[in-house]
Parts: sequence; C-alpha cells; structure tokens
Amino acid sequence: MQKLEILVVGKHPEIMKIILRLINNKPEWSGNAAFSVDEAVELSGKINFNVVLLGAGVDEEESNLLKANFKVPVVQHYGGGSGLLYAEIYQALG
Amino acid sequence: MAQTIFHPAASRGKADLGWLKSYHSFSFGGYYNPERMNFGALRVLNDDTVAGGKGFGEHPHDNMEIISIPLKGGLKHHDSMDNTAVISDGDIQVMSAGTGIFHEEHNDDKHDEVKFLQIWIYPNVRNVEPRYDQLTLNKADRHNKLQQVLSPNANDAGVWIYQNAWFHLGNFDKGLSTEYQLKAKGNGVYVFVLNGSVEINGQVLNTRDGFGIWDTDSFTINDLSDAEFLLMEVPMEF
Amino acid sequence: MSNLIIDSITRHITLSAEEKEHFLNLLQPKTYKRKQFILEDGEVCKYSTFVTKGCLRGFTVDANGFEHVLNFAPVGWWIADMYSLLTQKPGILNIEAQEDAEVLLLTKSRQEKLYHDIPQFERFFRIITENSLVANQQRLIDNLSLSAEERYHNFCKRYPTLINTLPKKQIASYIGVTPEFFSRMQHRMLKKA
Repeated sequence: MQKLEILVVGKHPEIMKIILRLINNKPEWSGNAAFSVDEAVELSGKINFNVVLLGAGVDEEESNLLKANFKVPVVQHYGGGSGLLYAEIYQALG
Repeated sequence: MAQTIFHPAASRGKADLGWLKSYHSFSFGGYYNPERMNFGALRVLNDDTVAGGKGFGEHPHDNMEIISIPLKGGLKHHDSMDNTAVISDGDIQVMSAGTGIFHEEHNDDKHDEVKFLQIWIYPNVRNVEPRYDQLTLNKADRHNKLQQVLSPNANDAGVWIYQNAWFHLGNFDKGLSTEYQLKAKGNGVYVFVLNGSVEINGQVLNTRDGFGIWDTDSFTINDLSDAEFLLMEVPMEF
Repeated sequence: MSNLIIDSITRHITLSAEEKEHFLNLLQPKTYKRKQFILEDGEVCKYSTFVTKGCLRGFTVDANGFEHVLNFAPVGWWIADMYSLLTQKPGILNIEAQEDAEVLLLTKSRQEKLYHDIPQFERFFRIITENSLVANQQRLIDNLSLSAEERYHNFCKRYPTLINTLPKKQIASYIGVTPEFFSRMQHRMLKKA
C-alpha cells in the first residue's frame, strides 16, 4: 500500500516529535521531519511528499521559500496534540 | 443583508473516550467535516466533560488563542511558563500560545465531572511571547444584560487576546430581547446557547445549538425561555 | 515598555507610585538595529540592560575567531558584562542585538543612587544576581557533565521563547556544538521515545 508521505517543517523539537508520532500512528501515513528549508529541500530529492506541514517556528520568509520549492499543498499546522492535525491534512488533500 | 448559518447541537462531532466526552462544533481530533472547519477566526469550539480525577496530559499549542470557560466544577491548569491555577464556573482563562507552550488540564475534583468550553481563535499577531491570564467574573453582571468577558484590549472589561474579537455572556429571563451591535466591520458573531431557547433572525436556537451571523451591523436575540448564551464576535477574514 | 520592567520588579519588592516614577526616570531607553552592538570586547560595561523588545546575545570570540555564546536576553531579561560592570575595567563580552531591539539602560552610578534613594532595590538586584549566579553555576555544571542533547533540553527549558526564533547556528554555539552536529542531534532526538 502506497503511504501518504507527509513532511513536517518546524523548529521546536518536542512539538515535532509529537506531530511525527501522531502522523506515524496512522498506518497509511508516513511522516518525516525537517528543521530548516535546506533540510526540507534535501529530503524532497529523496521522497515524493504529498503534503508539507509548517510547524511552530517557520517564519514568513521560510514559508514562502517552501511554497516556491514544493508543488504539493504547503499548509500551516497549529500545535495542540492531535486536535487540528488530521483536519489540516485531510483539508490540504481535498 | 445578513448571512447566517445554523449548527444544531446534534450536528456536532462527538468524541467519547470514556473519561472525556467532547462535542466539536468544528473539525477537531478525529472529527473531520470540510463544511465545518471554522467560523471566521473561530477555529475550535469544544464542549467538554471530563470525569473526576482525569484530564489532558501535557500537550503543545502554538500561534493560537486558547480560551477556557468552565461551566461546572473546576479545571486545574499547569503550563511550561509555570502558571498553575484552578478555574471554576464563573471564571474565564486565556492562553496566548504564541511561539509555543506546553500545558496540561485536569479535573480538580477526584469524583465529580467538570464541564467546560474550550475555544480556539486564530491570533492576528504570530509568534508572540506566550502569556496566560484568568479572571473571575461577577455572574450578576450578565443577568438580563450582556457581560463582556473578552476583548482585544487589555484595558477593557474581561480578558484580552491577540485578535479583534469580543465575547459576551448573557443570562436572560424569558420574554426579554437584547440587541447586539457588532464592534468591528468585517466581523461576524457565533452564538452558542448554553441553556434554554432563543430566536435570532427567525431561527430558533435550543440548548447547545450554534448560530453564525455576519454581514450585518447588529442583530436581536429574543429569549423564548430563560436562556444563557455566549456571543463570540470574530473577524470573518483573518 | 515601562509596565514590563515595573511588573518584573514588583514581583520581588513593593514600590509606591512615586518610587516607580523615580526609578523609571533613572532609565535611559534605547533602540538597536539587528547586529548592532550594545557592548564590545575591550569596552567598559557601564550599564545593566533590560530588554523590552527583541533579543540580545552575549558572546565571546576566541583566538581562532570562533564565537562562543554565553547567554541570551529575550524580553524581560537583564544582561550585562558582570565582571566589567563591577570592576569598571574593560571586559571581553560582546553584547549584540540578535534582532531589532528596544532596551532600558541603567548606569552603574544611577544604580548606586537607586540603592540610596529606594533601599528595596538592594533586595531586588540581590535576587536578580542570585538567580543569575544559580543559572550560571548550572550552565557550568551542564557543560562539564551533560551530553549535548541534555544541554539542548536545558536550553529549551531556560529560553522557551527562543526555541523557534533563534538561528540554529546560535543555539548550536550556546550548546557548544557545530551546526552540523546540532542538525544530526535534532533528528536523533525525534527517534527517541
């Protein structure tokens, strides 16, 4: 089964850990983390991501760079356990 | 001309984890409905009941204004800024998550359930320094009048948040009417009926119904019974 | 701006309205652009600096030109080269604006006058100095005995508002690792339970 590849970009290590755990809890999803735009772009060369989530700490300039570099939906994630995460991903994928 | 949307209580998403029963007015957790994502800057309206001795373990928030209004019982809060507090019926608590904050919330009582509203609003300033505030309100100030419990201004009545939003609570006797004047152009109001029955713009609202109204300067709430309700005025574009 | 410093002080001491006004009149507000220096290596530190907006960074530069971050001062924090401030001799600490900043400066002489005019301030600055001593002792212990991950964890606890906003290079310098090591460390931490 082809998993949905989700890239999470953020700076806060504890929040990133939680987001990845929640994503990887779903057997049909696979999560990867990048702590900078450079890391995100490097990873995009290895994995075809379906959606990019922007976590806490990604500023406007970085957000614009990511949107320019990725042809898939790039959406803001708001931390809060699993509260908004699933809806954000479902909505991004239409 | 005013635009409206009606969300009957039974149309809300529901989560039952045993210790937590939560009704979600907008998509949250495992409840996803693309038609119910938000009302303007109002993103989350959860009607929570937590069993005695239970609660939410430490979890993060960022860039969100988190408002908690207890309706019954007490909620104990602790956060990564070292704020520890118990809020009870009559209080209102706000947390500007900003750059990021961890917090936990537990029922302060070991046996009886706690009921509260958890409301999340998108802020109009991102990456602020996280802050916490709480206030005890005089319930008499909302009897047959609207009591402002939240605004954008630190110097105004109620708590304040980083958004052009105003919250009012009202507890009205049957047969009375009250007009609400919106405070900012481009704002709408989401009405949540805590108890009783009201009528707005021809729509009857009963306990835990939600009603959004926008593209209007004002509207009238007619109390069909003794009724308690929360008015949340928020920007429709944000 | 003035509310912030008064709130931080009245957490520890009580001040009348006149005392608050007297104290505020001793402060000199100043703004700094990003990368502008508040204090440079070789200068005498004349001020204690209170940050009301932005963030300052205290660092030294070694013989090889590498920077070593000593501390950060986000909003609500004080910063100074304590050696230079107390001895009035040239110090080796640089204090730079990490981003555009607004500060309130209190000169050493005015601080002495403050102790004379409003004796409670002796208590306030004693508490600030004690807290700073404890923090610096802890930082020394961290650097001597903790792993990089543990030092990073303590950085996150000490400066929670800076985790998302500081460049990786600065955090790496504070912890005492290279930026490349820091990146690898971040990813390793994600995999741990």
